[in-house]
Amino acid sequence: MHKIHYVDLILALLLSTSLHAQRTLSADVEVKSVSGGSVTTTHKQVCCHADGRLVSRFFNPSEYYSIEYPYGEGFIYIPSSNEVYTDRSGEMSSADNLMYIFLSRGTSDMGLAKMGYVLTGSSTDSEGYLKKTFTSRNPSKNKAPIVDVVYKNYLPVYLEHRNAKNKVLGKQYLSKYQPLGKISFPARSTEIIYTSDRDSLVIRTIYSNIKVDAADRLAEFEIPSNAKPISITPGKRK
Amino acid sequence: MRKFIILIATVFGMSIAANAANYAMDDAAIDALCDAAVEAPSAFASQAPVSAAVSNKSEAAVLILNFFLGEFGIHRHYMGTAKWMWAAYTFTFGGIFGVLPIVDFIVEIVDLVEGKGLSNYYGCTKFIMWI
Repeated sequence: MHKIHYVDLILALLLSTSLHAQRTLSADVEVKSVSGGSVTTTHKQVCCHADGRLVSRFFNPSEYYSIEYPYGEGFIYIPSSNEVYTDRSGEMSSADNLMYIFLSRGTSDMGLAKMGYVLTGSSTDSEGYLKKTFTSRNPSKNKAPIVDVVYKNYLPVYLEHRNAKNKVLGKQYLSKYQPLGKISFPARSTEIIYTSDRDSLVIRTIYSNIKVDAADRLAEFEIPSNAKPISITPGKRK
Repeated sequence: MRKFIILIATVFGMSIAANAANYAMDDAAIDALCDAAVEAPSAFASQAPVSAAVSNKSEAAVLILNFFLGEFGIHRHYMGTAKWMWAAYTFTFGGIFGVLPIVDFIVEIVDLVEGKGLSNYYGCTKFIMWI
């Protein structure tokens, strides 16, 4: 009799754990990019799996989808022409996507360790801000050699990317945190990317309608197996 | 002249001074900045006229590839260009520190909105395709 109770308890615990595991994070996203006095606006629906599969649905110029994986593979699918473009250059990666980082509990290093960074310093100031400094083991043109991540109450609020000479290349501010079950997620991100000493590109991202484990068709989206690959042949027009 | 102005506006655009010691951004200031800026006719915005302007699937693909993979010049190869173009974009740090793909993107949108299409850039082997 006691054995049966133990089995029931274990099963209940396992079931409870699986039911409460947060597997997807979805949101409507508005991105405004300001440069040179002009602003461009992008609207998309995004759904991120805990394993890093990030599906985005855009609506203009025509409906299209992008699927990105944390290991650096990505697809762009255009339903109207049933075409798919595959990228394995590493440029399309969900590894540094905020939704993936927060869903996978990667905020302690903001996913930097997986990208080849190591923790090289930390300090806490009088206002309670904890600053961690990460340095890339393999500097490349696509990665800032030094990244500072600043935390307040264990939540990342500021990232600063610097070059080897300590010149600031870009900043990112995370704010308007929303509690979502076991995680908190910033509903607002502001990035400033310095394109030269005097000029910059400002990217404001606002997440709305943020849901955890919501029944979302986007989460199940698959590129049709009969999609035609977009071929890019150097020197020839498609 | 129009393209020259676009280039100048992009390269010598607005600048925001943020204090690194202050880890919070003034959201109201950023909102005001977004509101004050002129809405560019982005192909990725939700306005219908631009969507209508992009009627050709290849033009849509150019914009999408420019948006995601512009710093490697992939959009240029999609339109047809010299074999070395990917290297030119890649080894100039994403097309002159990433500025060139942004200007390419703006010029493509402006030309589509003006009804010129992108055919002028098909097969173009110049590094800066719009000069």
